[in-house]
Amino acid sequence: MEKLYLALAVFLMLNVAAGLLRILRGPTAADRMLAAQLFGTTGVAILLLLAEAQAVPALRDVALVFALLAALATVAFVKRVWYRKPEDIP
Amino acid sequence: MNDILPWLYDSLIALTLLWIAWQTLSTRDLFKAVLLFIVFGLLMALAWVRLQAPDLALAEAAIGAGLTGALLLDAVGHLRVPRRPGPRK
Amino acid sequence: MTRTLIALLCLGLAGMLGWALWQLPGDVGLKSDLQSELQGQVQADIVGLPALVAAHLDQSGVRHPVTAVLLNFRAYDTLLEIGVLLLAVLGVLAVRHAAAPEPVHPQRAGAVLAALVHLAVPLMVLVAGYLLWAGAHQPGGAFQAGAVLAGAGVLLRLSGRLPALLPPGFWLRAGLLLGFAVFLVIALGVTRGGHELLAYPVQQAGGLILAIEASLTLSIGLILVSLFVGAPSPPEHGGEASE
Repeated sequence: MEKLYLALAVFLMLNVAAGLLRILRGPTAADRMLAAQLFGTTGVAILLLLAEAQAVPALRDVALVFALLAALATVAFVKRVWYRKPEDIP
Repeated sequence: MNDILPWLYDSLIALTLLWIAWQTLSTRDLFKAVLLFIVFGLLMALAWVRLQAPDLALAEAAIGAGLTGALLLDAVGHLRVPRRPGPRK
Repeated sequence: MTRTLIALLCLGLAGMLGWALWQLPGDVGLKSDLQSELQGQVQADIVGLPALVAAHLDQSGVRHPVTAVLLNFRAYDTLLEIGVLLLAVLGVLAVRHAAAPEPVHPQRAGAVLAALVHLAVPLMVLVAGYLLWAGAHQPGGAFQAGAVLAGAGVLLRLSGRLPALLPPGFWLRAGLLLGFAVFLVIALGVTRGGHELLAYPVQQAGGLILAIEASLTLSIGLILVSLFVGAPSPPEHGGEASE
């Protein structure tokens, strides 16, 4: 079972490596941000897999913190970086 | 066979970290650099996990992935003006 | 020319870091006679620090070795670190723009963001409390809990529900100071009972550490939020997409 978890973790890491291309290529800032956001989700999955594979339950807490805080960067991006049309602003 | 998966995973994470670090330092686009830094923090947390340091992973997850990202993106928003390429030395 | 110099400096730094890492004492296991450790720090190199911590864990008041080191065995370092954080936030507050306090604009947040705030902020506060409590026996503790708490504050700020807090009022100042003050009072307080500075009595160590960590969590959260909130939010209009 451990082997399966680790194999899945390796697969997810390869996913991250592939997603990095989207960050590097763009083309728009939103594409890059969403790729980074996707890594947050992937990271949570990898952490949960490793928690089982390494038998370290505390890693679930790390995954929990990740899941809670990963959205912060996206919110900061939308509120502070991304251009909004003037009619959207109350 | 038993050792190849952890070895594969560790080398994958180490190589990706080095690659991201290089890209973060060499890119001229501030926003891209900030995003790559956030991803670097995420992968660093995963690396701490592999190094049997869940405490550091937890701190890195809380600070690196969440707060630093928001702070740096806020700074990019304040700078706002796209960085013009400066004179090359 | 400059680039070559920088590259050489980087290589030199990397080499020094690698050398320093190589020199770290390994974990060679606990010596049979525990008395020899008491002779001082020099022995720690020989015994191996993890074993040394494990040998004294039951006197620390907590069951997690990292928390034991941070809040008991090497508490002096942590005390100074909180001092550094406090100085950093003092610097930010000192150089802030003397802008008028901004009004709160809850309507700025769209429906999705409002829903996220309603869901995530209570969860973050809950998780911060959990991490604080879990620090006694597993990875967690004041710093991580404070960071999660600060995440809640940043989210509130981004959704326009938190004013810029400028100038900092009495309660904010008190909150920023609370962790350092409680830490210092306890550190000095134990000396009245005939102990060394920061050497908690073994029976009360757990309670004292929890009191320190709880106040630290609050202060660290406030400090990190203040670092973020210190700057006024950018104007809502104008600006270009970064692409």
